[in-house]
Amino acid sequence: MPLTLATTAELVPDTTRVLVVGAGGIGCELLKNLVLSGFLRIDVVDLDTIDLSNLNRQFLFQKQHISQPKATVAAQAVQRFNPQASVVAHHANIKDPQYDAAWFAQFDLVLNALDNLDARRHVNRMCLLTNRPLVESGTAGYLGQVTVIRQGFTECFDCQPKPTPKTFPICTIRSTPSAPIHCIVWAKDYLFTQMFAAKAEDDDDDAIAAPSASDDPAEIQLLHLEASALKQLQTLASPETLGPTVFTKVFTEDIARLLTMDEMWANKPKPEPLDLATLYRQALDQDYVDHAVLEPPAFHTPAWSDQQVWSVAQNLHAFLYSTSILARRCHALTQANTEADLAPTVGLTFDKDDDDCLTFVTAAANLRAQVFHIDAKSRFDVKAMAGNIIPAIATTNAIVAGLMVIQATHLATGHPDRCQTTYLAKGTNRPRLFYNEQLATPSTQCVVCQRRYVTMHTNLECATLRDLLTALKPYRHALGLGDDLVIEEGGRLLYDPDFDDNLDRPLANVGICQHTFVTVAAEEPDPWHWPLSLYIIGSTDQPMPVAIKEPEQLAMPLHVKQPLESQKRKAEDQLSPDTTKIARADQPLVPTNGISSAMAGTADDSGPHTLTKPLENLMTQPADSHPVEIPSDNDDDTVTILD
Amino acid sequence: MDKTQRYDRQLRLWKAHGQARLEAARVCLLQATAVGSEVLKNLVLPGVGGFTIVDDQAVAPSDLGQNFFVTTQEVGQLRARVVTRHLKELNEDVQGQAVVEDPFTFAQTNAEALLAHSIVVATNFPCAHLLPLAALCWEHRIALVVANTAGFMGYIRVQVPEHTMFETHSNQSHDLRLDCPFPALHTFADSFNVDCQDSMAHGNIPSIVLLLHFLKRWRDKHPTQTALTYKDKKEIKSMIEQAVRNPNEENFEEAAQNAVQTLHKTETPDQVKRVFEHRSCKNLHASLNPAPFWILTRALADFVQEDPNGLLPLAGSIPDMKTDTQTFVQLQALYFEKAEEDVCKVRHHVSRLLTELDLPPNTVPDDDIRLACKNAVNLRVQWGTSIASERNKTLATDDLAVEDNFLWYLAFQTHTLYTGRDPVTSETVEHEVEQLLGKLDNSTSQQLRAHPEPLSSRVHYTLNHGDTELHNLAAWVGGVVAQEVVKLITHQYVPLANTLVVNGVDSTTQSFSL
Repeated sequence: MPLTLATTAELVPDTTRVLVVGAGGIGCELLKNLVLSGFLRIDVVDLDTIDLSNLNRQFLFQKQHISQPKATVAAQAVQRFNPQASVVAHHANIKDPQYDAAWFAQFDLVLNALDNLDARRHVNRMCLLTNRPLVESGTAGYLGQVTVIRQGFTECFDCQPKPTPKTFPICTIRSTPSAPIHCIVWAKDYLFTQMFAAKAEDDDDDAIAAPSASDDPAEIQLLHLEASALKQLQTLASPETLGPTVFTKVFTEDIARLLTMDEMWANKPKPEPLDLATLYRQALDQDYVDHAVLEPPAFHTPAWSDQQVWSVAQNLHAFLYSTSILARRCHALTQANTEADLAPTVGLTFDKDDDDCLTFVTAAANLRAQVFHIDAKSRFDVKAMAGNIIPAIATTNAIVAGLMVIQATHLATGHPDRCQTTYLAKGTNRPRLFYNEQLATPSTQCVVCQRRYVTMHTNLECATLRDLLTALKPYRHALGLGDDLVIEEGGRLLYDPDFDDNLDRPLANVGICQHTFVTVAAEEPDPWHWPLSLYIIGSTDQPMPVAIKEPEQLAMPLHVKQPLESQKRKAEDQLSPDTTKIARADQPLVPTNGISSAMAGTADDSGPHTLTKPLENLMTQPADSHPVEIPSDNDDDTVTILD
Repeated sequence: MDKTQRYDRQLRLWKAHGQARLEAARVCLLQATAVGSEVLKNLVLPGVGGFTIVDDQAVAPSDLGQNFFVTTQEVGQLRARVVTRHLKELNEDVQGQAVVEDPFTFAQTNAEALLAHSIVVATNFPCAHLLPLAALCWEHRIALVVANTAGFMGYIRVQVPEHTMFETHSNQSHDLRLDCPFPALHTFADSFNVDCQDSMAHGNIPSIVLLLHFLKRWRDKHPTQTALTYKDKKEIKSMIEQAVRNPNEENFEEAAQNAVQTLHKTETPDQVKRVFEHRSCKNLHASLNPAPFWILTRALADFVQEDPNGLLPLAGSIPDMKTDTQTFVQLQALYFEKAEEDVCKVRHHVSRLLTELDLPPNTVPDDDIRLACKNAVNLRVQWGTSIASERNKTLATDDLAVEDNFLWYLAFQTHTLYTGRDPVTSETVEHEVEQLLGKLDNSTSQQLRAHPEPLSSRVHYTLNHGDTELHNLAAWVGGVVAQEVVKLITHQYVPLANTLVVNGVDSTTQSFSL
């Protein structure tokens, strides 16, 4: 233990370059801690701008900064505290093509302070590709976690399966809702999108599943008609008339149509259409809607408070008012774009922290709930359900960022072996606050880190898939890919032996672009070999149609082919559940060795090749991946002190 | 609206009443150290009512690399004022004041001002000054949190004589009372025919009713048995599984899935019984000025006494269930009404007690009565120990190997820590080690005498680094301390009891109950 160390500043080399992804709750803390802990070269990337709801924890931002870029403001704020430090802000999406492999490779380590799965997965993959250590973090209320990902040595972000967001069948959302969430999803993902979002060609949404077998195709057809009729209305009406028009369409006419389908309501209570005129009179009686329907509701009064469940009349008022405001905002956007000579098709996206959006979704969801005899919800509750809000507090962020910098310091000072996973748990019956675990070894089933990443230089305009196949030909047996290959990109099938339509089309024409990952896999899935991930770098001056960087990387497994085959047979004979990894016959197994020989110029020439287990064994947990310390249910961390 | 928006992400966690408690709290920080400033930052952001910083030092160049709330231009200015100014910039709703006085003797010189706060945070406090401060806070039942750091090491001690909570969030399961259904639930369950021929109706029987039904069927077969064993519950589970008519009957699936978990015996947890037995509850009428918590607790105890099944008030909420909307709403109303009945009875007890105690009827707000009823099963009291009694204790560890972080705990108990005038000599260290060994029981001190190096090197380290605050460690410790302060202020979640050692070298922590 380095008991004599006085400050971390003496430890971290001045040249250490770190990348911080995210300048939100954890990001702010992290930047502050980094500059005050001797990290002098920091880049921070965040695409967001500052919102009022950030100020309860993102302390580098103040009221006057609202709607400025987070990355820029944060970088300026921490830069002041250390004139020697250089903090570079990037107000951009980390997935943008300029942040390619070569860019990532400049950094000694990467720190993730992100709140969304998609970006985390992306950074994880980029770090695997470029062999950069990644300090990963997350919080939810009082709970937090910090861990370190090192390519080949530890679990990667995707080694543990992540829960997929819940989706609902399209008919539940559009025709037969039975819970408040169904109405909220309808208001947010269907109605709001149809009325105010930019008109995209496909209306697919995350929360509504694509039609499945359980959905009636005739009903789906009708729903499509319904949606296009709504779109039609939207283009015809003015901001003032849009509310009443849409109201009558979705809460009266569409419901009347649903009611004609008797068999749908044989065992369910029938929906009851709303009548605008009746409701309007009712609202007038209750003084909610005055002579001016589009006046803003008195949100500051108790009757309209966030926690209050609004009456039907209130919901009508809120619906008409927010519709007119949102429609005007849409118009303003379109106009601004037309004047700037840009594409006029712009729109709004649902933002849970945007008051008008939230009022609209609350009112529309509650009106729909009224139709289907479902409980209405307060604006506060709708916000949580519509926005997938995870509670976030200053203290947890402070703790997590502190833990991250400790891990970063271990990495920057050449002590990766000291890194560990730390969980912050809420104290319930046990007085314990933190749990530590040794970093787990990579999951042999992980489809993300167990594959081989290779950088491919190509000319996207002239190289074809056929060129790509030709370039891979010399290596494919070595890679265990066999004769018949399948090529995919982002889940799209581009080629397989029965689908060669794209074979002679330039890569750019089949949707392969700069900075994407193309997967090459054996047509017959082989438990011994993972697919190959080609990281695409495209340039127009590339002389060869396809060049694979450092082809010796691909050639390498040729040497292991024989031992590999024999080991495989042996393993199949024995099927020993303990054998989690099989070493090359001529080389002892390094317990924490890598599998994907890292690319981008940092290749490990002697890169040992670990084989994956046969599928039958995949269910057994490798013995060496057990955490040293398993949180148990007793107070074993408390030393009992006797009187 | 502005405030709701600003605090939205935390309101999701501690709700409006937690926020109200936070906004009513006043925190006093003794010494504007880096760790102290971080603690306040984490409390000002969520909107604590107010803070006071007591500090008489000027901003020194050494503060610059450590404390984020002082800048180069402010070197030489009074630290209390500088830090207060910067912290107030973070949140205009928070009141902050700087008191330029010696923080170490503030408890003696300005006891009244100190006691006007709801909680005191003392940072990097020398032992000699800590004891009188701790004694004063203990006597006046004000929470004190001590946060000391030395280099990579940190130490936190929470001193609270009595901390009371309803919202511990420890028991998250629903209070369904399947083993002892209340009359309305019984009648409702009986109105279903589990053997009905209508397949739609069969598939819509709510799982609660199914569980009640099959439990009854099982009891008819085993008339003598009262308590259900795990095996019995498994048997009921398989009875349900056998009664499924087709794989689409999700209600049966749900009932089977939840059988083992929900067929538990409804009873008052021992923890709650212990609180009922405490003199503050039993002899409520003897106490001078009983806290609303104890009046509520006594009302709950009286409720249990009166209840035919000897149970706590019903929580009143039910989980989402596979059934038709109408049935679900009926079921929901059933539990809600029973819970309301119970609230009514508890309210009655509260007002009777208030009359007996000669207290005004608004002493216990109705919202608090509801909260107490809803969370009765989680009711909990933490009785702390004073720092004074800790000093006089003989410490022992039941572990054969003396743990690393226990030694760090000891190293933070030295008398010369933070007095820091004299250079640390081996004599000082030896003397301190000897003192510390005197606090330990025989076997532990013998072990440490045999291998003195681990302890003496740690003592040497803390003494040597008592004046070095590393920002990252200060930020970490500051986060933990603020988190505990929020738990104490909001009376939500269970706070640390009562000591935590933070080890910034290997990023471990260890808690101790001392």
